[in-house]
Amino acid sequence: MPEKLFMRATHALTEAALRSGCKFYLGYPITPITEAGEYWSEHAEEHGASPFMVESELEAGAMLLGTSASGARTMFGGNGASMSLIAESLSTMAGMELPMVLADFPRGDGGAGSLTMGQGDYFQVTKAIAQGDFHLVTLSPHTVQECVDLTFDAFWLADKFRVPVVIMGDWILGMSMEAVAFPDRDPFEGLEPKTWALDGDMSRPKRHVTGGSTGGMVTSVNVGDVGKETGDKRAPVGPGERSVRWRYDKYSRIPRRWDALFCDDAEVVVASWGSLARIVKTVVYKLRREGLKVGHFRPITLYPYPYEALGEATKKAREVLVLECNTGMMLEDVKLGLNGRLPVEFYGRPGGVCPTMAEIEYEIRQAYQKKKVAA
Amino acid sequence: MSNEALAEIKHDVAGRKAVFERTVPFVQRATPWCMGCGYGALARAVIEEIEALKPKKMIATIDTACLEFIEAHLPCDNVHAGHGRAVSVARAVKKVHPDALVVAFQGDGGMLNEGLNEVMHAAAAGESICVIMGNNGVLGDTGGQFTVAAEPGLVTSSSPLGKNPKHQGMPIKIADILATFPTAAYVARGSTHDPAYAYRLQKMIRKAFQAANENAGFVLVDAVTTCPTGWGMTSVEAVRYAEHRIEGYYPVGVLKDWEHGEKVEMPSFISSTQRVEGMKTVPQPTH
Repeated sequence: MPEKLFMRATHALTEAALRSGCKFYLGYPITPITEAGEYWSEHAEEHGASPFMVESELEAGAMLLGTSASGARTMFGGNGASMSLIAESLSTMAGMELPMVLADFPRGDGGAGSLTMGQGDYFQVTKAIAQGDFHLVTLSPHTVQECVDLTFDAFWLADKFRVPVVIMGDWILGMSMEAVAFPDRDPFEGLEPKTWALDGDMSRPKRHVTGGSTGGMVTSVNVGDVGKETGDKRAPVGPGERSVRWRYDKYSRIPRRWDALFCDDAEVVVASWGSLARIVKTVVYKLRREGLKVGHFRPITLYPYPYEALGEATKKAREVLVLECNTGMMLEDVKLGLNGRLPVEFYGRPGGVCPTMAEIEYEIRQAYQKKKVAA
Repeated sequence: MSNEALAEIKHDVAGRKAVFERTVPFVQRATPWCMGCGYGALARAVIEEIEALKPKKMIATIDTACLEFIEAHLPCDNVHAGHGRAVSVARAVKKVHPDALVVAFQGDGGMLNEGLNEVMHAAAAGESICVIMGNNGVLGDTGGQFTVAAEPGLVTSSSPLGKNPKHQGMPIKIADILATFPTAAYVARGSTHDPAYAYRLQKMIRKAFQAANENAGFVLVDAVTTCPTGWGMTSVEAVRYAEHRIEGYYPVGVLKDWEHGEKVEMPSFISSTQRVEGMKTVPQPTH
């Protein structure tokens, strides 16, 4: 039984990163993830990591590129504003297929952001962080323990698939303290050495790390020249298209993860993510005890979204209720996943407000009763 | 480059002594830059000095702009950085591989317009990287718009009447600024517009590489180059204008010299907590 520690989520995440063999934490102090950098400064050298602190987010973006291209495990910590600031680098690094982990703990609303709960950065992280045809693999924890476990997973996934991976927390989680246990895991299990990374060795042919569309990208893969078949009127496939297609092929191979609660016989499935899911789950447990056939679906990989699992979880359902701290962002993914099969209701509190348990209970009861009447 | 290729180029014709040879990468591949561009001479100097120094480990980081085309000619590992980010990327690479010679190539647009804070931070940190700035006063890649480094009066596509300091500001002489940093080991400015100057520049690059290879501290070479395309001039006119530049804002020379074995010493410190504990009395204002 591993030792249990009482830790703040940001501290636990940083400790997990250090135990995952991460050598650099490149983040600018910003609430609610400031403490991650503080923890790193104090403990980095115990783990043989660099205590270096970056001067600004723009430099963090560049240094993620440099450290990752040099073969080191590296991570970034910030909130939505920080993610915006490193966005250009992320676009470049996704093209270069550089592995890294980004801990994003957004605040309520945009701009400087309110110091409250919010989920308005869902689109930013999962859909369109920056220019170009790429996505960030996004993992969404809802407990401090999950922060730890997903950090180990994130570093492994990033290296395995050579993609940037985001751990997307939120304000409530960032401010939470809980008992956590650190798994005794080999963080490099089954991973191949990074033979693509730069080490400067002049005795072998030179290596070059650049984006796919600028040619000569460092990747051992060739997805084949689709346009080469005779009689094919399509434009020939160039290195740019090949690299984008290769990237999306990788996304398709990344395992989807989710957490389905009481979904087997649920008439109403409530979908929510992050810390809000924790509050919603408490309400779902309560309603189940009363005999209401309510289930809960929580995606853990926000990108790639577990569409198939959502379909499976809503097999018996007559309605899906989406709850979020925004005006309906994951709602779009739920609708995509259901593709018109079921009616989808939405209840959201944007701008830095988190609904109360009573509010959530009311919304679920409304959806449930409406179903009963309709049935 | 292979030894056979080298031997083929160096074949002796009737005992005549070669006084000039094209650098092998430029024989194997054509120069990627425009006619009259100073980056060819800069790249030649860089490549020859890498070949002379023979570092065991070397990694180059290359900014997005005209100078990025040096990447195909460099004989070492390299990574392409976003515009303005090459110095930060070089710092990061150096942190992972402290035993490697790390060189950042960046134009004046990348360094002075887009990445000014980054080069200042790198210099202040005394990071032992060598930064080579190609300084031609224009954003050549996008068709020659003026940069911060352009001196007043330079006619470009975005300053058709000449760069007006009233609206477009004065040049930032980054080499002069960074030479004042105690953490800078070697800072020099050279020019490529004339063979004699190019030769001097090559000697500066030699020393810069040696200093960075010995982890002496932050190293910067400001290479003043010509851009006839961006300046809207013939190659000959561009050389004349380059003379005006080095006589005006960008005088060539070593701004901070370095000798073998010299190393920037980072100061030892006393933590603020200890400092306060050690203080017997709180100093009072004298007036």
